[in-house]
Amino acid sequence: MIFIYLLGLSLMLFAIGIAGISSSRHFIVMMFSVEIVLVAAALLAASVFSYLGTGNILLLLFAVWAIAAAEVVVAISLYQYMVKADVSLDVSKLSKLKE
Amino acid sequence: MDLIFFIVAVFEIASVIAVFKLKDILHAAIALASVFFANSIMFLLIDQDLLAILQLFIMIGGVSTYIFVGVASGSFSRFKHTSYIGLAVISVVLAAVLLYPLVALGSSSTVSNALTGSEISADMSSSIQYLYFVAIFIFAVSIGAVIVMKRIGGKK
Repeated sequence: MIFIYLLGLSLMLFAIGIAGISSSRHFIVMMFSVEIVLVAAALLAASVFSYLGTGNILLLLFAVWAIAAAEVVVAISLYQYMVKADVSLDVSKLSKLKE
Repeated sequence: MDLIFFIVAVFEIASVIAVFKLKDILHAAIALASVFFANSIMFLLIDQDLLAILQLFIMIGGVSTYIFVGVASGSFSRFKHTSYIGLAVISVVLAAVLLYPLVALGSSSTVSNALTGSEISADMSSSIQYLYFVAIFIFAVSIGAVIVMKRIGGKK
């Protein structure tokens, strides 16, 4: 029974994360939304593997965690650059490639 | 176990919503760390102890620490308020919640999952307490580092 609950929870987290990515214009909030999507994916994968009882989930989750960590490193570096260069964190203002 | 699941699920969804609703980036980062923590409890509930520890170790000990320090060092000027009483209350509650599995592990004769009661495999039971302690320690140090940075930034 808990598998169904976990499935629902991970899908809810995934939906909230996707809604956050699509609706937010703040750079950091979008980064956090991607983290939430990755957390939902990890939870879904772990619950499915636990339910089926086969395979090695660790390798898949290491890939998810590596993607999450790499994304944070890139995003925080960009954030610090944007703060120091006094660039707006509103991504809708960054859509133009040329002035 | 269902009751624990529902409590943790509500906590996790509330933390996710708080990530979008909070105005301070640092507070949103703490809410995101709460999401990671709730997710590791979910791993414990499905008897994936190693995944729970690794989730704490990587996502809270590593990623959240980096987010805290990176966000705090990028925007000193926005930190103008600090409620020390609120900070103390949150710290005590966080410490109690985070240290509970460590105490539960230490007090039991056979190392078992603190939530489900199932026995943890022998190859990881020897190192699970150290990994958990290190993850929580790094997380606590990161919060301490942010507080120190806020004080230094406030004096500029």
